[in-house]
Amino acid sequence: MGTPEEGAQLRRLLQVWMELSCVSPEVEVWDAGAEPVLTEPAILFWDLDSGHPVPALSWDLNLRECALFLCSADPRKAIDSYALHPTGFLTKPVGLEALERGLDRCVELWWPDLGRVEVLCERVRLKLPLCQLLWVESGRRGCVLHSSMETMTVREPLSELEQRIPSGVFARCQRSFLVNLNHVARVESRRLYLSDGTEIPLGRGSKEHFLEQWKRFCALRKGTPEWEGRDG
Amino acid sequence: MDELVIGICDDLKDERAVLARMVQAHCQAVGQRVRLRLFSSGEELLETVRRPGQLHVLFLDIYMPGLSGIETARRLRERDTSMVLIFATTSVEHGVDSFEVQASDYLVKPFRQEDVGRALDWCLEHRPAALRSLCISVEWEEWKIPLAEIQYIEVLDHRACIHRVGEKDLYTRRGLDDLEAAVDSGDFLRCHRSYLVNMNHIQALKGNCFCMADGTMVPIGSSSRTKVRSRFFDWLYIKTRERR
Repeated sequence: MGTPEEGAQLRRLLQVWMELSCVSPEVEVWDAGAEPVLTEPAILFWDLDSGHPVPALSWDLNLRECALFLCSADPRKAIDSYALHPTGFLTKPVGLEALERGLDRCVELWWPDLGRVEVLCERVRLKLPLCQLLWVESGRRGCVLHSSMETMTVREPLSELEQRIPSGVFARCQRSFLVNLNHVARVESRRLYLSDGTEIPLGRGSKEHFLEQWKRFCALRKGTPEWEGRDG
Repeated sequence: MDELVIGICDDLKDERAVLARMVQAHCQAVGQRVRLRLFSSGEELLETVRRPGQLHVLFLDIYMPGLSGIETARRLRERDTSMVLIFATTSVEHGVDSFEVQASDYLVKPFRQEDVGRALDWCLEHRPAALRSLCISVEWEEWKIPLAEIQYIEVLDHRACIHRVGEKDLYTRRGLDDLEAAVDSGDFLRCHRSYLVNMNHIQALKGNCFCMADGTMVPIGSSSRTKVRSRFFDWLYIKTRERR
């Protein structure tokens, strides 16, 4: 990036995205004038305002082997950047929404680093991507997992499953319910609604802790000072 | 691909004609068969192009009466994510917007024949999997089958049977391993020793079979059930994410 501050800002933003999306790729900030540490990054963000030309890339950007994102404070540079056929163009200062949209275009590149939860369902061992797990409810002999694609019954108790998934993104909203905060659309005093319309109860005993987690999650998404002070 | 269907959408008749000549001249020079479709507005384009695959490449103006080119592109992307989109416009203010609709290039008028040629060459070289073709020999006749058209490939009596959407089945003497390598697309899944399926045409996963759009049940091999199921769900998740 053009300045160390801009590099640090983008890195913080990436870390927020990583936490919210449950993805853990290796991130390296590369000083434009220095030798790269990661010789063949899967995803490269390059600041057009850095004064350094985009390095000659040894890999083919267009075979989906890697993605190039060009950044600039000047939106007029977007048209010229087509000469390099980047995956995306980001206007500085980069926002979380624009970053998320851009990274969705190269999902195949970060998919292998996606956090997953391994469950045994009907004698088949599945590795379900955490970002697609919507909510979990406690059942008679274990729990029921609702993903955006299917519903699975597993023998594991909810409390044990909860230990294996990240608490910043998943929150207990009632004794028998655990929700993925990425999919919560609205929170009311006694219930919450998911983006697919599902209504989940908000228990009195869990309410205070849930609202704390929800507040922190919203602060992360909106980029308020709550996460600004966190270690980048 | 036998024939490239290229659309040109511009409200000015003369501009459409100039661009059409440039496209035809370039395709002739590189030996690419082409069919041109001309549109005078975003509304006309959206009215005509309703299904994925109807146009392979689209040159789109931005400033037009009625729907702008950017808005037209947003609506098109809801229907077709694989169409190659090239803006051809006098406007220099929509570069950032053009990335949002996943354009492949942005040509600023007045552009030259070589600008159009360069944009088209890149598109042809890096065409999305849905626009690529599988070359096979059927009874000494060469066929180029668009990958998007293939539902699944099945091995029958030492021959591979290629089941296509709305077209007759084709038989070839090539083995399934060889065909899988030739297809070389993440949209295809080897779900069984004798079956290679195009996941774009899967309607549902029912027990140990994939239910295809035409109702056919394609079996999943028992030894690779977990792997196949995971790959299919991952593919679905990725596609959902890409289309967000």
